[in-house]
Amino acid sequence: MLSAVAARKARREAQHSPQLSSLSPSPVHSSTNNENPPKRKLSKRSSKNPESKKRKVNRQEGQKRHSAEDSFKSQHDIIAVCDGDDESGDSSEGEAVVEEHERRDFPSTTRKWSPSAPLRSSDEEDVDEPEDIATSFDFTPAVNQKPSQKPLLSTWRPIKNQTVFTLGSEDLRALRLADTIAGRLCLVQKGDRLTLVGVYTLTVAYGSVTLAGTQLSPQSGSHRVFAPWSSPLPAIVCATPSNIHPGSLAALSPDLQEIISGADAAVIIQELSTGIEGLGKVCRTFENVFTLPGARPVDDIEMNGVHYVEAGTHALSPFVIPSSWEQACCSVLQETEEASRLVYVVQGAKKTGKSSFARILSNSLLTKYKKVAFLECDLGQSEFTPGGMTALNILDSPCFGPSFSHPSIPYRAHYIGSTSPKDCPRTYIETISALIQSYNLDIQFGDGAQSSNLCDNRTLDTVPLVVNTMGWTKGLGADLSIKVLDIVQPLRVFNLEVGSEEDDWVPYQGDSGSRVPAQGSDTGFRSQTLQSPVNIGSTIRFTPTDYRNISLLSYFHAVFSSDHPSHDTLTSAYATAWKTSLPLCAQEPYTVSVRDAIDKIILVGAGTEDVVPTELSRVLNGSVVGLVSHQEGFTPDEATMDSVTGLPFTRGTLPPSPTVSRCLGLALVRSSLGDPSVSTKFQLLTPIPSLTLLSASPRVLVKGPMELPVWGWLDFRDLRTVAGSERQYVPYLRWGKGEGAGADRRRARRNLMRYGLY
Amino acid sequence: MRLPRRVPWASLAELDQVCSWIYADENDLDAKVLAINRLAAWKATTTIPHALESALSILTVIVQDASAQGSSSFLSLRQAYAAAIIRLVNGLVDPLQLGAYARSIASIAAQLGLPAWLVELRHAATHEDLPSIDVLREAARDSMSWLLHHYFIPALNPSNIEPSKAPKLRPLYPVLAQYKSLLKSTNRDASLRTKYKQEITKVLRDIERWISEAKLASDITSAALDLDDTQADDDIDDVDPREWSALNRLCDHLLEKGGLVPVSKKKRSPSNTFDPSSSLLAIWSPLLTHIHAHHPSFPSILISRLITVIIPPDQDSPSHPPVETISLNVEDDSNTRDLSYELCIASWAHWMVESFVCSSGEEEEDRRSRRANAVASLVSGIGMAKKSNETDHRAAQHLLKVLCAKDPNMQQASHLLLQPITSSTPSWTASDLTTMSERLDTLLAASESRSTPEDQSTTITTITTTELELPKGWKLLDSVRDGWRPTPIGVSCFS
Repeated sequence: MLSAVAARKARREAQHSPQLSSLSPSPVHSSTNNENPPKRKLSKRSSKNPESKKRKVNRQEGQKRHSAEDSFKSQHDIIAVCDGDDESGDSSEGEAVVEEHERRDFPSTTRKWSPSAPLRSSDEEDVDEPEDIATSFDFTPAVNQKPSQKPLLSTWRPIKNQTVFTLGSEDLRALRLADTIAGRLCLVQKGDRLTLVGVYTLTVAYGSVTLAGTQLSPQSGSHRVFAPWSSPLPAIVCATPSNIHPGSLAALSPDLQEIISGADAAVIIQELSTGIEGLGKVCRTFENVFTLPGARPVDDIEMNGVHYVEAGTHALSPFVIPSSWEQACCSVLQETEEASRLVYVVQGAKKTGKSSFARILSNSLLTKYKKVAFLECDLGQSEFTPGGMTALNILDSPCFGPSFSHPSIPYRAHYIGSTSPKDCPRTYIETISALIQSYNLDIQFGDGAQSSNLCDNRTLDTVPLVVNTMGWTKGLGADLSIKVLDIVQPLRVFNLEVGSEEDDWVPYQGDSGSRVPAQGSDTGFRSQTLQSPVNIGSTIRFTPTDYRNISLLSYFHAVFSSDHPSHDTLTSAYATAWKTSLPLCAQEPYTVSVRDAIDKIILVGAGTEDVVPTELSRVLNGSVVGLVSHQEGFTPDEATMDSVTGLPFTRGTLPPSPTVSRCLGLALVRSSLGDPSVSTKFQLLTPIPSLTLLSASPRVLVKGPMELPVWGWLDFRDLRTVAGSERQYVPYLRWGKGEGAGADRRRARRNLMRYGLY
Repeated sequence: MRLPRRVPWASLAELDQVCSWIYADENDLDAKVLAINRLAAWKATTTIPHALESALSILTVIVQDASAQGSSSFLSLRQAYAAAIIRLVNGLVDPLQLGAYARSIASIAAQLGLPAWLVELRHAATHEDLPSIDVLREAARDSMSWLLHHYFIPALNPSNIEPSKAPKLRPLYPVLAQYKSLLKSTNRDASLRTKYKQEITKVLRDIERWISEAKLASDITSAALDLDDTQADDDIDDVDPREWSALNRLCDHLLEKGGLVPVSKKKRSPSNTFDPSSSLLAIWSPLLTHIHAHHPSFPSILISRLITVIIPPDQDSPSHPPVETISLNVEDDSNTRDLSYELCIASWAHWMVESFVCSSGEEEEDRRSRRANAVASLVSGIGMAKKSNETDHRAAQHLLKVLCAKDPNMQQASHLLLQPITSSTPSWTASDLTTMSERLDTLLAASESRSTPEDQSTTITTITTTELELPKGWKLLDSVRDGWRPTPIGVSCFS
């Protein structure tokens, strides 16, 4: 256990280092130092060179920003082979590189991007000494002893007609890409690192690159990439030079072929307009997250909605993948096929990078398997759904972007209605076991369909499952996690290492600090501990509530492709665009006749048993409900219409069992106050495509404590009014501070100290 | 932009109705049931104000008690009453635990005007014997009337808030005096240190408690201060406004004569290095360090207060904040400026900038930025007061000189800035106008080019809504065909 003093020290260090890392010389410095033992002695950090056991070092990694260097040093002594490789250049040359970098990067300490003279020299340097750059920024698991902290976002530079080429429509057609959308061909050399902010389509034309830890090749097709700076930015890295002759590019014009053959890899960046930028208008916390803060650099790639970014700043931080993650993904891919049920669980406390790792893991599984299933057990920050539900998704192409950039209509889901299972632990467990049953029966071995694409040699008859668990790992949360593990029967469990403050949490059957896979005693899974990355910047500015808000708003504004096939095939529909020209209050709703379309209305959550039928429409007005469909032939028990209100509601009814029902998605009850004497009609807003509604026919509404964020109530076109109504006539919203004692919601402090107790 | 807050009622009239259901007739149980039903429904829609939640739980027990006369178990009633009252008190007090350390519930309750016996009852019901049914009924009645006066009436009549209601903050002077005398004796005789150690700790805690109280007082006095937790557009580095105001009040007290500046003029003179005399430092630096340990923003606030004191007030705005408070315990001398006082203050400012250790791992960088800030406010202050008498800001001038001596860049900059402005308005030429319009054009062009991607996206994402196939009972409303028009969410949208 670490002492409180150490924890405080680590925190202080963490406060200081963003400033450090925003100055670009330091990262370059340190990475070069690592190759260069004489120089390293000058480093400040060499004083705490860990002679102690490796185990101790591993623990420190979780809390210290400079952990990567520590881990490197510890491994430096062990893996001699790589050392030899790294030091192939003599030390004087190494020092020259340091100076070169310092000179080149110094202007950025005063200005974010300097278009001034040093650029030129650095370009030459890139050409002259590609080996050194390559070794400093190598990203492949093969040489994973490299430090992972690289706040310099790009080492690649856009130079017109040298590294960047504008593609004409003929070229695009030759590459079988949409020829009307502007595209740039970027040539990258081994070790180059290219970071873009914005929304774009990425196609690998030649060679192979990794994006956010996922290997991409020309066979993998085009990928939509969402890179807002609200999340760590993914980088395109050329890991290994291609050894394939660029003959596959025969369709291209000869001069382009000529150009490409000189590079290690070539990627095509195309503009992508989805309207997701409009979410920044809807929820202003995320305003302009897809454009560069501050002035645009001069050497941009000149495309709409995509910006080249060179140096990290306070707001921009790179997506750093700890080497242990890469190792883990690699080892998962090398798994022998003997164990046919491939289930991987990602565990860890809050803010340890569970979701990120789960995403990377499923992305890398997608390089080997055609389909990957994803079970979401985190109700607060779900990856593919707006929170409040457990969901099973099927992925068939990797996802690049934060969770709000890929809302979906899941394959199967169950509505919990709350961002935490604390009020309904039993239902929570039941829903997960229903989803696992569905995986075991219907998904595990694929749907028997044949691959239509002959180039695609990915496995089709095994669908691995990635399970993301919740971050509540204490008390009842720990019990629930154990139950979840019992249900899902994982092959492997990845424990993301917990920070220093959580020392009383004991990961289930995991031997923390040891890389040696521990054998689970009763279920027989292997457990592995992974370090969690230290995200700089982004986590400070955006809170979990912000992410929850944006993903719910993103869901309600999303447009799903309406040709979504029926729910029996193994797919999930993902958002293709966002309809953000109108606020929710101005979007045309569905009107739903309660008598004809709704069998049952259910309230879940603590205290909802006390809601009487006459108050029900008041409760539903403006609320978020889950649209649940129950199996045919199943009639909900005692679905009695209330005689007074005509609503199918009985106090204290439980939601339908997850084995016979499923949640299609969410709807916003825009208005539930009608004239009850006629026939009650609700007005609902939902992004679920009409075909899905038709085929699954949701006849049960479930309302939980989850609410529409205040941003969703507002009218972003004119913030002084809402849909033309003055502020004082807008229901359910109050501007200004509440008056009177106890006018605010209850707030408890858990970090109060007491005199005499410290 | 300040976000509105979600409330359970559509309009205040709904809250008013609930209030009248509860309070109009104490014996009308049916009305109370209506109120309970409505409050329970509100609670299911969103998080309701704590006062309403408490009202709901107390009312539920009252109604149960009234209808279950002669029932077999009074224990359940007593437990329900007790739980309702415990939660009422806790919920009112908890949000006001603002400091790092817990304050006693009784002291917060006193500031809120909550009857002390409810606090005692809370303690008894939590840790001691469960109180008798009579006491609990009485407590429930008292609580309901307290809620009427402290929640419902102010909430329903938002304009009727009386700022004078704010409880008075106890004076800090006696505590500071005690601190000073303790430190004086330990400094004189080091052997007393162990003897007085506990007392000094006590005084320091008392000062800490005073800061928490001042924070709370600032909350109550400034009703305009919105302390919403959704600080959407506020800078994250910003200090909590309550903390800011409390620390400012503390600084006021420290700057009184007899505080950081001794009453005796002889003891005020700074040392050779323009720091306060060593005896002064020995007394006050432990306190400053202590406060800083709990309030990281303290040094910057103190420095800016120190600087405002030595910059003479503008003739136009004679009421400068520190001047009001300086004259609390000495003869009124707010009009005649006191050079030795100002020099002493200036030396403190110098010491705070140059020598005060803000954090153990502090870099020279931080100190330089602190110095730059101080110089900037000095320069702007002196520049502003330039028209007034030269001698008025001798202390400020001196401080500026000392601060700048360490940094040649700053010396140049401040010199340049303090030079009298010679030429202000160059003659107007016709070419100026063309330059201006050019600039306007570039600005407009920049904003246009930025808006293009959004426009594209909206055109692409507009989906065509022809006749959709939908389940039975569903229909997509259309603004043309059905006369649908946008309304705020929660309002039925038919014309």
